[in-house]
Amino acid sequence: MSTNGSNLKSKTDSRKKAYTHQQCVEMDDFEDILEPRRNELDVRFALQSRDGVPEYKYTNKQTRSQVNESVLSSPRLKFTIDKIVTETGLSRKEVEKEAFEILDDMAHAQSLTNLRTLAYIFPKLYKRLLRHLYVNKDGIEKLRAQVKDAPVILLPTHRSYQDFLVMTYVCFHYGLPLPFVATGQDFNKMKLINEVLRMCGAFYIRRSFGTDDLYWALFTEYVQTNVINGELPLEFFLEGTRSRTGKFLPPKLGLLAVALEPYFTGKVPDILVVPVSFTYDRILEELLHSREMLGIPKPKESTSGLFKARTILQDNYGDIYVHVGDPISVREMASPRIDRSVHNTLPRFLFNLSSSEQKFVADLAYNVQESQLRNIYMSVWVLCATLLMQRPHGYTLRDFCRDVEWLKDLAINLGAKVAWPGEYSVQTLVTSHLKRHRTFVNLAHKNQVSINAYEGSPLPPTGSMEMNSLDEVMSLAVVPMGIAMYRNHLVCRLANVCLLTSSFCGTNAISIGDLFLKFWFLIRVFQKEFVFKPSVTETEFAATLKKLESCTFIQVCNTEKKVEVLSNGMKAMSFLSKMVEPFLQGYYMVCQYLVQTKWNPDNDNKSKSIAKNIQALIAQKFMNDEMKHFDTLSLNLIGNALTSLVAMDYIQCNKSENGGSLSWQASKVEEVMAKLGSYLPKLEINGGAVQTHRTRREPMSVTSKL
Amino acid sequence: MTSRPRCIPEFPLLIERVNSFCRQESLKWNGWGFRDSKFEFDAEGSGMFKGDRYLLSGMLPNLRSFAESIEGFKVNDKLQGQGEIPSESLPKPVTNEGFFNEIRQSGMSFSLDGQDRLFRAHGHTLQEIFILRMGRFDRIPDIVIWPECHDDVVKVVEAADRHNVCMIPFGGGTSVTNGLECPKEETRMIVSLDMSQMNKVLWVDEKNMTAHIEAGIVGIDLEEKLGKYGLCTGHEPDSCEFSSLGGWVATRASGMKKNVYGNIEDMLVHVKMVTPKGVMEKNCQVPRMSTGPDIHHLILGSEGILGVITEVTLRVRPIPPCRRYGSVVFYNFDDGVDFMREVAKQRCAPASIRLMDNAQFKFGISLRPPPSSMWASLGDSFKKFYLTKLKGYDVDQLAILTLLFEGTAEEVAAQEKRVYKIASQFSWREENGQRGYMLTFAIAYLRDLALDHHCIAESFETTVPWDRVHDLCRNVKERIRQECKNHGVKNEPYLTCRVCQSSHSYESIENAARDEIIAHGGSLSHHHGVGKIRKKWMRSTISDTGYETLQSVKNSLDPNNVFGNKNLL
Repeated sequence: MSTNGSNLKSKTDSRKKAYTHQQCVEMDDFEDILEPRRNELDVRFALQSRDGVPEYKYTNKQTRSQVNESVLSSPRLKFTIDKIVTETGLSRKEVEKEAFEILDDMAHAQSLTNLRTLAYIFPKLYKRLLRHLYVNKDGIEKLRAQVKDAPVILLPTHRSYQDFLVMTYVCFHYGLPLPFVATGQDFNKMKLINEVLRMCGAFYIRRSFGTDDLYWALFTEYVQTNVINGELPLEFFLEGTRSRTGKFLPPKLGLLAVALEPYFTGKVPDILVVPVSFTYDRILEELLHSREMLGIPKPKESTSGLFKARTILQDNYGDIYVHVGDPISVREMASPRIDRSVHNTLPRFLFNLSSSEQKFVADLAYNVQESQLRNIYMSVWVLCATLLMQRPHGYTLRDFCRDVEWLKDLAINLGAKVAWPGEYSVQTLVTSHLKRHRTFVNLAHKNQVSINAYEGSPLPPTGSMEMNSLDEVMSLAVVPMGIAMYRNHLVCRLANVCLLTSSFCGTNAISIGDLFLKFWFLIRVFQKEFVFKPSVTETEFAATLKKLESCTFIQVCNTEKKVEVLSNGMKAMSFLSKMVEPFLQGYYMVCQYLVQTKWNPDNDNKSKSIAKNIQALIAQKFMNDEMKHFDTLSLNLIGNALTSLVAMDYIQCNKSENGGSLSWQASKVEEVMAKLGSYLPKLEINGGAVQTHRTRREPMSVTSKL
Repeated sequence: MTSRPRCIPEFPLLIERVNSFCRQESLKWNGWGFRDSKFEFDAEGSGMFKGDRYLLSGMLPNLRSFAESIEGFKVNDKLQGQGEIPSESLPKPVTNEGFFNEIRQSGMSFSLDGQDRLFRAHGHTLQEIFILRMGRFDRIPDIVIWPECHDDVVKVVEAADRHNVCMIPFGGGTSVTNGLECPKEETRMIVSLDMSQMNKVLWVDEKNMTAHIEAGIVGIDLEEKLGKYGLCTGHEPDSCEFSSLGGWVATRASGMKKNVYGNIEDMLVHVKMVTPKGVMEKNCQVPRMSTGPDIHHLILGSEGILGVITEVTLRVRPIPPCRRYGSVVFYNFDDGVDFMREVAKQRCAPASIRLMDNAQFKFGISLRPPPSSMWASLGDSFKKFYLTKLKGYDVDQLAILTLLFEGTAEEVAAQEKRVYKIASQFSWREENGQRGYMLTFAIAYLRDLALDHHCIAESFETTVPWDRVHDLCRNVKERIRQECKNHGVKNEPYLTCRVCQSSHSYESIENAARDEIIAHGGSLSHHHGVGKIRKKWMRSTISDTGYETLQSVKNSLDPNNVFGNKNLL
């Protein structure tokens, strides 16, 4: 839809409020829900009537203790307790007492009074911390219209601790039912905060409870009872934990399967699954995440830690975009392929999913992630970060603005949604975003843009950064890691395109067959890195090719079965392939380590230790000045690479109780290393230390001159 | 005669016998039941039930406002269906000369008359009634033959097998599974074997309490004939004014009083089925025997694909001296289900117990007669005020349960005491039990009223384990609502559920509803049978192996597919 069309759509007075996005393929009707807070009394907001809140038509309202009681008296619990009593010889009383305690520790205690108090405080905070909190109103209205039909599951992306609070705030603002939220047990250790969150609707679950039958039964029954009651939407994060990398994590299916089983066993007529995408201009925990990816240990969640972090409350975090996606009806998606009658011959208190239902749950999870990804907005800062990662040192502001605009158009043409307020000039936009990220970016020199060496401190004017120890490398890596996290938003969104451009391997013409094989290899290698649907196939390849063709970057010659890069596409193609170069480089380094270090059964071969060793090897390359992509130091990347090599059967992983331990044969790894090498520019592979050195240092001296 | 208790005293007196040769003279040709009995709105729009056969006959002052509460129901707009289809526009009969000559020589009654053939071309599914009102059947029987005894049937089946004709046994014509529909692609001559003349009680053995009866007898006739001996079967399906004994056996029927008398398979002591390979029967009349798989269970539910059921020996009982109706109102449907579960658990179910949801509760109210006096009317409104305003019950939640107790006066009193004690926890008693109970016979007439006024109506039945009753009722309704929406049906469907005993683009909506039932642990059918509309689920219902087993029985009993109505398999 063109800008004209969208303007016609939104009414004149709401146009001011609605954020207009130039050339967006799809137009989302965003409105800033903080704006009314700036003009009205917060107390009025907090005490607003909740009479018109839509309700699931078969809702069964139960108090906390009623829910807990029905969980504890359920046939599932009875069955499990019987089993435990028989197997362990414990007395029934003891097991029941334990069950009661676990459940009491797990269950949420959402209270409207508590939420109203927070609804008084939060706007005050948000008004200070944020410029705008945008929500797509049409998504909210679609959800509102369907709440009465079926229990709802909200599945937001997880990039920040705030996600849960923002989601609840949005629901409160729009008079929607307030969700109850699956939260990690680690939060439950934070005194006071845990109870506040509990009253907001958090319920606490252990991160893993594989063989604990009692816990499993309680958890299943508790979640399902709440889903069946349908009073509050269930909210949880498919990724299981916050993504620290700006990329998606592979979906965790356990909780989703538990939440959907009531549909398969006919306890609810349908379930609506709602993907929600959060986009933050600036993520609260950016530095924390960056350090964590480098293996600098994460502080334990503690209340005192939170108060120490209160300085963050004095910063500005720009805009948040909340995109509520189209609700997916589980019934509609399942009805042609799932035969629910398979459950008829088993009592329904035994958890049971058929293999086709398990596959369905996985497909649904990937569909949700696809929708989340499609609706993540690329902020101006994400565009800046992407450019800065490729040219960290030295960009005149004018050139930089020109490139940001170029990248914006490129991203939009390739289907990404970009948050680009049309009413501001490029320069205003860019500088305001760069200022917000002064932790990462140096704007000390007026017309010059470069990244900081350390958080908040610019590169030394000499331009020479001596790195003599692992610690020094690591501390210098914090800023690039942080910026890479934002760049990854775009990499993730354009992963198919980036990998396809990489598959040209620097050539300008390639046969379609070769291109497909090259592309297919990368898709498999980066399965974990960019979370591709397990069913990515030739159609995906064809669609991606078509996308590049429609941008007139390439020409597909069907008679000769060849693809040619057009001159129009040179810049974009090279830029896109460079976006994934650090990943290729990182994976290459992982292989290099495995080739150089012969496998020895007596060594500590746990994947965690090996990842650390690989990181040390890469850090050494930095000390030798042979490496330029700081994000290759990410333990997440190294871990993904190892997992992927295992999945592709290049190396082996022997699972044991304390983590998997790896074994490999150098010759086999060499094979994959050569393949990876073919995608990388030649001089960088062959230890072109001098060359690399040049390219890295050169711009820095430009900076220093100015 | 009058001093004797009648088994079904409330039933219409059989002024015309339903089992005359020319049934269409007393029965509607394009709807349910007797020609003179129907719901109607008069010129002023007042609702009534015409005719004087039923308890609820007369003016129904509340019917109009109820009907108007259903979206799309146009009280003032009556849809005119086509008039009786002239015989010349019906399909011409296909004749098999050899077979036809044999029939003529045998002296059996037969008819090639179009109206006779049309009447036997259908059952009572919505689709069939719709065709009668608005369309044409592609295929109808080519001849109607009325055998008068078992030997006639043996003769006609032998002839059919020899001359390769197709034969569809016809009992009461109340099938709701397209079981009587003639397969379109059938090119052979189709014989409708009308069993109505085989309606004699051949003997009654009061010592063994059994009766030997011809299979063509309809329910009400059977009860009347047994009544002369002071006996009854107690089998009382909703259709028992019209459906036949043979039909009950062939579809595994069940009656409203099955708690006391059992389902048809529990009453059956002996049965004869004429197949192309001979007569299948047991050599004794005993309550049970251990002689391999029970051949009766091949006959029960065979839906006319294996042969013709000619004679049946049933278990009979003395007519109970005392019969009391009751009804109980629950605050909501769930309470009612819980109550029924409790009754089943304590094993004190009376002869009939059926729970109707709020929609049927309201429908029941709409069929109340005009108040007998001003006081009664005042009493009603006071009661409504008391319940809703003072006690805070939600009229949109109430559910009603009807009860029928049978036995000696003492037995009935004891049963009542026990049942009402369980009920007292979550309900109150209503009078007017009999009227509520009799509602069930009127419901079948309701569809014709709906069709007259632009609405369609159909019922589903199933059996489901206790733990899934509530989910099934809710989710099936929800699925139908959703499917209607997906198919662009403009008006909100009117859906209702009933739980009976201790145990409800149109076709795809119906299929979706059945899928939903099966997904919730419901059976494909409890008592209507499979026919042709539910065939597609047969294999998954009874497993491939089970299906193949039935198929091979069919192949060996009827290799030429004489009984080619294509039901079941």
